[in-house]
Amino acid sequence: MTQLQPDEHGMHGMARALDHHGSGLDNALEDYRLLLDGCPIGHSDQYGGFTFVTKHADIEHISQDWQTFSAAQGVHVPPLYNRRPMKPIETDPPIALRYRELLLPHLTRRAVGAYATEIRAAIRGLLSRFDRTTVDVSTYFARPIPLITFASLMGLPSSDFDKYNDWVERIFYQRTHSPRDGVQAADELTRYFERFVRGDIPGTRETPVVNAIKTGSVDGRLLSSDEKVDICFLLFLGGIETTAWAIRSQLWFLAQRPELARWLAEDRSRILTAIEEMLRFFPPVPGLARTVTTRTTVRDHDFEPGERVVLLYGAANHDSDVFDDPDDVNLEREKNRHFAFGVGVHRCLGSNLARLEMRTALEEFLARFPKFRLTKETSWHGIEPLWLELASQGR
Amino acid sequence: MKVVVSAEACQGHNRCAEICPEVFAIDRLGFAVARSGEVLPELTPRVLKAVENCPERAISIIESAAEAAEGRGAQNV
Repeated sequence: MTQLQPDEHGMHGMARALDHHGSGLDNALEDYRLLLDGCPIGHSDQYGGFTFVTKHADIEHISQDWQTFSAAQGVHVPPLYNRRPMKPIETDPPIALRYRELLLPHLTRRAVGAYATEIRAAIRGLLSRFDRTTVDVSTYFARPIPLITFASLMGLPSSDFDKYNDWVERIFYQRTHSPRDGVQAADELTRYFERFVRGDIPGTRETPVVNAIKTGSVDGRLLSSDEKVDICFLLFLGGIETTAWAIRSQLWFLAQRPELARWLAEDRSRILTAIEEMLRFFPPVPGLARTVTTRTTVRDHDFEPGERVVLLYGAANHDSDVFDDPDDVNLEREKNRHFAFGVGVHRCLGSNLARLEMRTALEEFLARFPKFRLTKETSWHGIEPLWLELASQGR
Repeated sequence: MKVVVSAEACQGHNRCAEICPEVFAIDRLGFAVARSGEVLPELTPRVLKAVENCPERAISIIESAAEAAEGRGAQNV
């Protein structure tokens, strides 16, 4: 789907074609600008039809009003083929808060700091294995980093990485092409975590997160086996493809702006703020969904019970009411309350871990390869191969 | 000026703690708490940056009585 075009029905006809997946994201910037300015809340016919929301203030309001806009009927349009709600993301308070409280202590900035050395060593290892000057940094850098991190977090064996890659591919990217294969992949992943929860995966270690899932209690009771599996399912889907997409999109961007890559390489303390700007511009999760529970009106749109609403975080990140010169990339941007990790009670649990991975990835990459360029045109989104020609630091 | 983090609004993004750790502490669950007392003048720019970067708009600036007497407006975001 190329750039949205107004048709004889004007903006609303155009809006009906909105697709926040795959090639629908090719012209996200232009599409979001048109919608923010001309059709901030509208209807798309894709995936059985949904209402999309683009304005920052509206997404903030909706995300914080979980009573009216429930996550319990699923947050993915189209769905990701999990047979039971993923937890905690596909639950509402109060149970959502109880699940989050089990995991939050192990995903704070301080807690994820325990993995910092391991993550840096793994990233250096990946970089040292680049054996030629032109490398696919998606397959051999961006994608393995969160797999390694996930395995560390969950005490899982690295020998299962090929399985994880395959499931990510089939669940995320096949659902818009081959739904039956997506269902099968989701079932395979579920069975894998059922074995994991029973202790039947060889080579596993107990980690703080695993201990929390195994021994944590919610409302005075231990988690059921299904709940444990559903939490593992979310941790898997939440942190692997997303972080790979983020790292890949950041390298994609910098490969086309060598002066910015050099500027970051010269003083790597600039990377912290730069990553927030690149997250704003290239969010790994373009949007997530809610379902309306009671009638309400937002910005003259009447939301009816049962209505599926997609919150386009990517569009909100370009709202000129919130961001100065929103369509310019400014790696020193001071005011940046972007929604790349969402907003409200379902704020991404893994955001601190993701930031640690992204920062370390860019620090190490730029230290070794301050100069690189794209050799094959590709899109900003997704986790397809990204071919870069690298000039070494020469050390 | 003083700073307050709304416990109800905070969702643990931790942007504030990264921008100005001198003022924003993080509790066991990762939620932010502003240290009590007057903000040192040299920290003001970073505190304001923290306010501007909180996705939940959970941080408020409370001016002191003296500042109110001088006519400086309170900034509640």
